[in-house]
Amino acid sequence: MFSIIMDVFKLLKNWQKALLFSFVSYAVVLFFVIVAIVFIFSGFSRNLPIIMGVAVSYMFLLILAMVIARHLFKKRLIVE
Amino acid sequence: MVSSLASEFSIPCPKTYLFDSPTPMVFTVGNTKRHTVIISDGALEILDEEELRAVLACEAAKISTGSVPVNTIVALIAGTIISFSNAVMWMAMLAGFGQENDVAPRLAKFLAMGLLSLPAALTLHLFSVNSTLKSDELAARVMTDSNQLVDSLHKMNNYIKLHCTEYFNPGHVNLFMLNPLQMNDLFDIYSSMFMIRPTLDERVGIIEQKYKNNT
Repeated sequence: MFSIIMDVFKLLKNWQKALLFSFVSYAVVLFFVIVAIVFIFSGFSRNLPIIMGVAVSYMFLLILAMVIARHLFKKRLIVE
Repeated sequence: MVSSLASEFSIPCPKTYLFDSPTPMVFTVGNTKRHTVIISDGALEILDEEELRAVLACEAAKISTGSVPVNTIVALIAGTIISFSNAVMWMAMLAGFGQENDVAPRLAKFLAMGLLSLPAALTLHLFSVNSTLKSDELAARVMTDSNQLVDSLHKMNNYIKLHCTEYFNPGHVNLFMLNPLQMNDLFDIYSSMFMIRPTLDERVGIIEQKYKNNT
C-alpha cells in the first residue's frame, strides 16, 4: 500500500505535490478547529451537527480553493 | 543610461538604486507617477554595459506598459503573507529548536508555508499583471542588437541556476526579471507554486521573432 502511495507521489509534478501538502496542512487546521469546538461546547456527540456543519463547509471551501488553484497553476506555471 | 532609456520609452526618469546581493537581479517598483529601478551588485558585476542597457530597457518597457503599480501592490501583499513563514522559522530558532539550516526550524517553516503559500500564490496568479513578453518585445524594438538582451537573459539565468543560493521571498517573483527561486530539496517544494510563465525559451523566441520582423 505504502509503495503504491509513493509511486503515485513520484508521478506528481512539483506544484501538485506542493498543493497536496497545502491541502494536508489545511486539513490539520480543521482537526484543531474541531478539537476547539469540542472543548468550548464540552462534548463531541452533543455537538455533532455543529461539527459536521463546520467540517463540511470548511472542506467545501478548501476543495473549491484547490480546484481554482489547480486550474490556475496548470495554465500559468513552468513545469520542470 | 537610465535617463536616455526613459526618454526613448517616453516615461518619467525612474530613480535608480543598488542593493547588495550576489544574485544578478533587476526589478522595478513604484506607483503611477514615480518608479524606482533596483539593480543588484551581482548584475553590475556579470553584465557588460550593453547587456546592462538591454536589461534596463526591459525594465523601462515594463514601466511603459503600466504594469508596475499593480505588480508592486500584489508583491507587497503576497510577500507579506509569505514572510509569516519566516517569522515562524525565527520563532522556532529563538525557542531553541536549532539554527537556520537545521531540520526543526525548516520543518516549522515548511508547515507554515503549507498554510501561507496557497493564498499568496493565488493572490499572485489572480491579480499580478504578467507583462514580461510585452516588455521583452518593446525592449527588443529599441535595442540595436537583440542578441544583447538574449545574452544578458541567458547569462543571468545561468548564473542564478549555478551559483546562487540566496533566499528570495516567493511572493515577490512577479517583480523580478528572472525567477530567482531554487528547488534544492523537499523543503523548497512550495517555490514550485511561484514559477510563473513564460519560460526563458519562450522569451528568447519572442525576442528573436520581433528582431527578425524589425530587420
